[in-house]
Amino acid sequence: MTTSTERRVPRADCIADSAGGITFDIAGTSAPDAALVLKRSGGPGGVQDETRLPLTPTGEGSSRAVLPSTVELAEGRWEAYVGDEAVEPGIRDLRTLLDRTPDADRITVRVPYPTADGRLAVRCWVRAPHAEAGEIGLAPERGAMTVEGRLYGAELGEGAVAEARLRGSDKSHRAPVTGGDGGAFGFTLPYGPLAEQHLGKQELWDMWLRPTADAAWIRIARILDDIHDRKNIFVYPKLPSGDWLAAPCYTSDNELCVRLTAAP
Amino acid sequence: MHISFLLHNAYGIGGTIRTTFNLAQTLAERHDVEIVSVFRHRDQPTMGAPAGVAMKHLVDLRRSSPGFDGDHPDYTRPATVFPRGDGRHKQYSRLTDARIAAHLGSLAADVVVGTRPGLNVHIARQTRRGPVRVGQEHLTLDSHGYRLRREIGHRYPLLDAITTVTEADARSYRSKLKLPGVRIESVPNSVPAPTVRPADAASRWIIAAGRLTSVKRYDLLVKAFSKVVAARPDWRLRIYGSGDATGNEMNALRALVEERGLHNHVFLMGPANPLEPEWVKGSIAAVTSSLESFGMTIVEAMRCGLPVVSTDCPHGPGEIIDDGVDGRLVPVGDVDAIADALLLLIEDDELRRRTGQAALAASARFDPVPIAERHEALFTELVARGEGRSRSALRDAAQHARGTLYDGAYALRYLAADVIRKGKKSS
Repeated sequence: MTTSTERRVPRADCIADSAGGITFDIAGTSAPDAALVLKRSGGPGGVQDETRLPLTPTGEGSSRAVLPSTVELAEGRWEAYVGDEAVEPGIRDLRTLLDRTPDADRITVRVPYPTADGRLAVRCWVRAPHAEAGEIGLAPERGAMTVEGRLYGAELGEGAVAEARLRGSDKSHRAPVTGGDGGAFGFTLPYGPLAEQHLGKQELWDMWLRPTADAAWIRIARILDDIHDRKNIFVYPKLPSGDWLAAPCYTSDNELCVRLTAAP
Repeated sequence: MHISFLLHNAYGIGGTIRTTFNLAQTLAERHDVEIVSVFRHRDQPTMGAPAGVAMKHLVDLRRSSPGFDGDHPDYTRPATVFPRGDGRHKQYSRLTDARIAAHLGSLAADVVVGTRPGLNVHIARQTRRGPVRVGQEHLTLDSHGYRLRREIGHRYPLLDAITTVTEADARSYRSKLKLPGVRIESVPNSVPAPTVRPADAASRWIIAAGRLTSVKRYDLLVKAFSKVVAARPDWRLRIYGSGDATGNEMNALRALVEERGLHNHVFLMGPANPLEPEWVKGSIAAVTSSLESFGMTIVEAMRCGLPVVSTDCPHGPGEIIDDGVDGRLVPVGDVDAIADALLLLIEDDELRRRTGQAALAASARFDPVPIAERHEALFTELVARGEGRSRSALRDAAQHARGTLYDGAYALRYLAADVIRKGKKSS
């Protein structure tokens, strides 16, 4: 009927710096050759990437591993292990990640987060160039959204466009992009042309940006803060468009979309 | 001393759980401390097991566990000991009646501490002779319905002491109930020093945290934030928390954010545990409740170096915040006053920094060490007096009589208490 719950699981407190470095302070392990291993799940062909970070004892049974910003980590989700044991998330001090406007062409973001099953993982994004979404305005009278953002590692020029691409089809719609100081960009996307091309019950349109006519397309995302998954936090009002309700939204990878749902 | 806490569910999330863990862990440095959780639905406590404290449970609700009790026939039969007036009554059963009785009837502790009215009633009725019986009130007497207040009035005379978290509530217990011979003391909840470095007043975020229930009045905060954004669109608000069994305002708050066009400024963050790394992302904390039994989040934010703007609601905020020195108190329900107090701190960087520093210093009085010492002093005194022994004999006699004659038992109980107080006249 009664049992004790004493159990030592490695548990890591994390401090993130704004450049992408993370310090892991781990209680419950102090073996001299111990390492914190970050394993990337869901790699191509099921292959797992691994990054070993040596653990240095810091006294009182705890130890520290440092992931410097200069160590490459591919984009994805990296789970933390000590030996075979998954690491529990402790206190994650991520204050320096908020409201970043880095002076860089290549954007690396690493957000330590707790997975749904209570493990510590690091969400990494590596983007060069990068289109960071900011405030999103809504124009009910026009049935449109206005996205403001900032471009990193690319400059706007002739033929700058934003494009909404319907997932699982070749349908798309473009809107001209205007520029401003310091890499600022903006565009207004009316929902009407999206609603007119509707296919199914619920549709997700991915938002892309092309800075010039001959540049590569950039996926628009919002990754320059401490939020590893903003899908249910950054929620926007729905506007009617034909038989549809349209609203901007983020995926659980923090990428910008427009979702069309059937109007009730 | 051997101190045994009785907790509804040590595996969930909540202020009572957190404060019990804090107290148990601090007491465990010098005493033998256990937490007995009536229910267990997870392998590990969500809020992290307190160090040095033995954890036990009475009813196992883990389906994967060999000791799973969820299909026990008594589990679905309504409780008779646990009072109906306690909001958790539906979760209690004949099974909990019996398991708690068996636990309290054989408890080899110097002190047994209940952490909610229903469990305090169990302790009053079922603890064997010996242990000192302490009932903690984590809410307030006024917040309970008539039925529960009546039950408390009948049962709590068999406790040795009641602790409240505010002096205001202790006054209610002293003045509104007849509890002769029962020690009534206020001891505020404790909050440990955060392990993160304090906030530095530079961030342009306001932080609020708590359950998304109507009593927290986050609707007022969102409305006040409309006014803030009109003046200072560079400031934003994060509200941490989720609903609970009593309600969930998430959808209503989302609708309000949408209606006010605040979707770029107000964010409903969902639950976060621990909260300290979230507090330090902001430079002002906001509490707009209509009722705070204590005001745990106020102390947490202050310990992180944030000045708190709070409504001066019953019972806690006014006993925590020194208005104009380490935070701001505003009238309950006054959207403009909330907005103005926030803007005052937003517009004056030096005032915000200074108020945050004062909050950091003043909140040290809620550290677990001095708070645990107050509980420890009370327990020690009661144990030394042998409260749990001599009085219980008389009280148990009173309790038996009351089984059939409720009103008669009233008189007997007062008589019993009078005997202890050596001949004072009963009115």
